[in-house]
Amino acid sequence: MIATIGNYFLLLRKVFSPSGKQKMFWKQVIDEIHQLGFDSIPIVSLVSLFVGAAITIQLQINMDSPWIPIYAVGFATRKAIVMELAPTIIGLILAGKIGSHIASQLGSMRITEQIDAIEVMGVNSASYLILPKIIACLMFNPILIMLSIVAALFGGWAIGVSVGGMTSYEFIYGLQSFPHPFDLAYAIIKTVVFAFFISSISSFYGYTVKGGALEVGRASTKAVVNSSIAIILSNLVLTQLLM
Amino acid sequence: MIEIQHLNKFFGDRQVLFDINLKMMPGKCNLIIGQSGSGKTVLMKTMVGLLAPESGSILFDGRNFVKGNNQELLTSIRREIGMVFQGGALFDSLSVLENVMFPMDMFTKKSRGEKIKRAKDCLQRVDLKGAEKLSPAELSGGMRKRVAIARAIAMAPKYLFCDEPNSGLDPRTSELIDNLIAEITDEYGITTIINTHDMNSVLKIGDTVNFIYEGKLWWQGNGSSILDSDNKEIIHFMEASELTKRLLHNHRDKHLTA
Repeated sequence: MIATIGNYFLLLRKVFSPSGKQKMFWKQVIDEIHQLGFDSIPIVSLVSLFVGAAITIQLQINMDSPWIPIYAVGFATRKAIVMELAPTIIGLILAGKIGSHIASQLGSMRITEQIDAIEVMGVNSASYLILPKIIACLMFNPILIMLSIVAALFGGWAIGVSVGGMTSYEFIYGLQSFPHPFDLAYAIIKTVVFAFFISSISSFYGYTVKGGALEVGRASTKAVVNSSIAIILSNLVLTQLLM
Repeated sequence: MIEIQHLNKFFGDRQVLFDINLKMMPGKCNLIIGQSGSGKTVLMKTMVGLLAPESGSILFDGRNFVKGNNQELLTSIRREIGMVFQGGALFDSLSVLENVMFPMDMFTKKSRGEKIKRAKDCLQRVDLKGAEKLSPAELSGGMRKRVAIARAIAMAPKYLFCDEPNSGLDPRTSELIDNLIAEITDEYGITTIINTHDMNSVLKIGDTVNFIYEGKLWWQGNGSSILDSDNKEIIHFMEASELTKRLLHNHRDKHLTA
């Protein structure tokens, strides 16, 4: 365990060392944004839409009281989505999707000697392959989380208005009540931290694969499990620090 | 010239290379032969810096890139190296042309047009004109090896390392790859180091032959002198191939008759 953590930090040191041409680096970042970011839009939108709707239904049922105004459902939905659902739940979804993609891609490159080929050419393979993935996730995951917030709020509004017995005005009034801009900053800070853990931990497990196809599968599983654990733990720490 | 001095390599407690001392002839095809598991791939990976030896020196024109873990020296020597891996190690996400252009993209300031021209010339040299837009997945084993050779020579290296360049290939394609490597070595004056267990390659292109057995350098000579060797392990190794076995027996019969 301690050796694994030590090797993770040694790899990070190599990742943040120079690799080669800047032009090639940014080309890689754009490719990674496409593969890791744009390709995640459908799953993020779908999950957010339905979870947002489910949260609204739950809140409507549990807040059905003459003492609580109906617009409070919209307010509570916004709080739940912005503070936890979007950054944490979508973070876990992305750990599964992006994490397994990164680990299996790097693992396959390792066992087919593609990483050795890069290294033999005199290129810092860790920096060339991993840094663009980290930068792409740091840049694009906040956009995905914003999209998730919008989709989840839309899902909540749609279900609240169609079957929840509230008007569109009441839900939107609730969403706009007691504005707290730091909530959004809080969501983005958490997303950036989670993005770093997902991309770096998954890269570590993929890059350090030894063996064959079976080990690539195992590395992929380890990448998802350990990224998820890192997200859950750091979520607790960040909530304590930032709230 | 590449010179290896007192090289020892361990994996944990297990020693895989024992006090290797050898010199690679400049501008020639230098073969490292031995059966699977004898340590020849470990030796090659140590020579190119992918594995670190526990002790010993590897000198490239007198520059020891093992000593002191000098990253700058290691990088500068690596830029003089081209390597053909056993499976080709082509980048799946790039086309054939982009694979060959990759080292130029990383290290040269040439314009895109110049890089494309050089990559196409290299591909033409390995008889792959017209394959530029194909992806590695669309190539046969022999084509993959040829693209790997084209990529390895794109930067006009001083040293070419080939790890089992004809493994998994049919005899005809193996011969083509052997001929290609030998021609390129002559044309460009490259010092070529080839790992192989193919006796056809040994007899045909082995300017120097280094036989590794159980991690030790067992015998040194050339492609023509190997048939005269009375070393028990080499004879055992050669007799594993029916073709070489017959050749060896014919060679001995001739000697006896003479």
